[in-house]
Amino acid sequence: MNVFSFLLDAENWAGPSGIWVRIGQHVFYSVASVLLAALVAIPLGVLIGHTRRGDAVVSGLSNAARAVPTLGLLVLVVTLMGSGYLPVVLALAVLAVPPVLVNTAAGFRGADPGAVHAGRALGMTGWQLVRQVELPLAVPLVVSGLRSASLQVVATATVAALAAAGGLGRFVVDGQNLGPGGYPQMFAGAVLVALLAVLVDLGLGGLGWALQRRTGRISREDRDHLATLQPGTA
Amino acid sequence: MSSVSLRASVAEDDDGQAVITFEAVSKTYRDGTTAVSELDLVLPSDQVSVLVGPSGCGKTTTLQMINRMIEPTAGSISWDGTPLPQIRRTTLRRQMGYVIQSGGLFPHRTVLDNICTVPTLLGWSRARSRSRALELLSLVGLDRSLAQRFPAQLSGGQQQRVGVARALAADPVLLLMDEPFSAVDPVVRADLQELVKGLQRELGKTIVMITHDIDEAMIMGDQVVIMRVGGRIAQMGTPDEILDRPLDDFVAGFVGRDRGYRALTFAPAAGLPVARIRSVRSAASVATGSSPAVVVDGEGRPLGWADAAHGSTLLPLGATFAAETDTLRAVVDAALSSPVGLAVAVQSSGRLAGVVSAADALEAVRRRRLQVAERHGSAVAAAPDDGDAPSADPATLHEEAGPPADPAAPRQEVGHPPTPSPDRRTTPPPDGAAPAGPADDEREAAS
Repeated sequence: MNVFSFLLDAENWAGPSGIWVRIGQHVFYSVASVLLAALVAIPLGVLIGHTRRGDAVVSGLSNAARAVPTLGLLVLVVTLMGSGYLPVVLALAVLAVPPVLVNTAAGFRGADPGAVHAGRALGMTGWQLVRQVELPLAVPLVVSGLRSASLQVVATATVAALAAAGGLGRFVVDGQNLGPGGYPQMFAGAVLVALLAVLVDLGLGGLGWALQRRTGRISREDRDHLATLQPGTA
Repeated sequence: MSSVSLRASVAEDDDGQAVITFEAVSKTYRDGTTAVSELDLVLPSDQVSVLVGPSGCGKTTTLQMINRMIEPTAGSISWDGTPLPQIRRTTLRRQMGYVIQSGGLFPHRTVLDNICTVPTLLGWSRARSRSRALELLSLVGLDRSLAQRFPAQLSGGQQQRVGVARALAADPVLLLMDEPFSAVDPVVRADLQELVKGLQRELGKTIVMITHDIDEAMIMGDQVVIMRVGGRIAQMGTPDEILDRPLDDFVAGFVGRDRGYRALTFAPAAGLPVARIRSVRSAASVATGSSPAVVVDGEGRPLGWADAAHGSTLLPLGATFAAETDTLRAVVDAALSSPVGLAVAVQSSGRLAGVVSAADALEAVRRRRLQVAERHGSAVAAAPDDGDAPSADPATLHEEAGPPADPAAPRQEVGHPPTPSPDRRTTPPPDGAAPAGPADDEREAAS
């Protein structure tokens, strides 16, 4: 039996329960839950890192969240809310919060203390300090937090199938129900999840690299502007 | 807050006085440590005040209370009569330049953008901020080509210059400096000290600086405040007064053993009798039996000493001093490092001006001691402490001040390197630049 048979059959790619649709669902869950997690975790991390208070909250929350079994959480949420998209996104978001929160808080707290002190002493408001000093210095860590969260979410989003909500996990679950004949289908689900995870990781890695590069460069416009300036004339 | 009102208030204060007054200020931290207690202090305008003391003496706390980075737990601080709590923190800080230890530059911003920080916060236009920044770049002695570098691409000294430029960008009346030069090597430190002193003379800023280096305090300060652990003032006064009259053992110990020598930093060399000396173009042309002569180059700049006893060997010149601008300390140092006991004076052009004998230098020192003692009242004259009395040394030296009779000479170096530039002379290394060996050798050889 060829394990690739499922993937190579064009019929399996099309249609409302075809591979493309499943990929779309999978990506949708992942993006939605990481965005939701970022929406909660980044502001909280900024607050904690900037004020240097609430470290206990970070470590406690993230340890607790790591300990929560996603499957159990999903079952709980589905029981409470019924099946559908929302419970899946919520359960995955809980999984994505800790890495983003921990990294954001660490990035803000670890921002060059001399620079932060100087910024404050030169008269920056708290918000200016966050925007102009701490955030640019924390960006690499925040992005790396998003990266590991996304990776985890993409891999775990297969549980969506259990909440009757589709995604690439569907192939694994369905294949399993078919017995030995379902292996090519299970294999397809696994391979596609792995590929997606690699792509997401590469994409976010590239984003982090680009952001870091941008902060270390001077725009052409800037250079031109400077060339026309004379000291102390304006 | 509107940037318009901010700009107006900065402009208003431009020519105003900037007196910071501490009244019974205490700061006790939550853990019970008292950093500063019952501090009464006036930091006068247009002067450099240096707070100095061992770590834990509350000097940093004191400095940071001036721009409200730290709030006192008791007492009040005012700026030109306005209590600090009445001024918004950000408004206050934007009117006070701030320089920290290792620069504290924003690593993600170019040198130029770092300097533009406060102007940008004040809402200046981009063009105005940037041209101001370029102006400052040259003011602190940095090349324009560094404008678009990032801090990590600069040396420590350059970074600290950028830090100073950034602090001065919005033309603040007051400059706070938190151990600004402690992270750089002694040579760079001396340069930076010169830079800040020069800027202060030029721009007339009020500067409050903290350091744990007593030498730096003495070099930089118009007023020096020595603090002891627990945030109390041990002594306050001009460097001169503190070196001459340490109030107690703590101050005496802190000021250090070389204070007699160091005090000479505050006496100008101008007015000393500069004697003429024979100058020759080559060491070989000194006739036997004649007194030593200075060998000069084609431009009249001194190269070394020639002495019949040593034939055609060029003896090292030793340190020189600038006749018009240097201090008595430089003269004594020059005399002590000269192989013939004569301090070589040079004009600002570097040409030989003449010599001052060690005896004359010490006579000037003695007169100055008397002068200072009289200024500080009769109590001093009645009970001089160890550092005050010139002791018996000058008398013995007096007799030996002439040319050495013995050829047991210091190491001879042909092609002696050029003397250090005169402007570096006023800032000797922190260990007090031990009087150079040659003169000591001479003295022993002669006795």
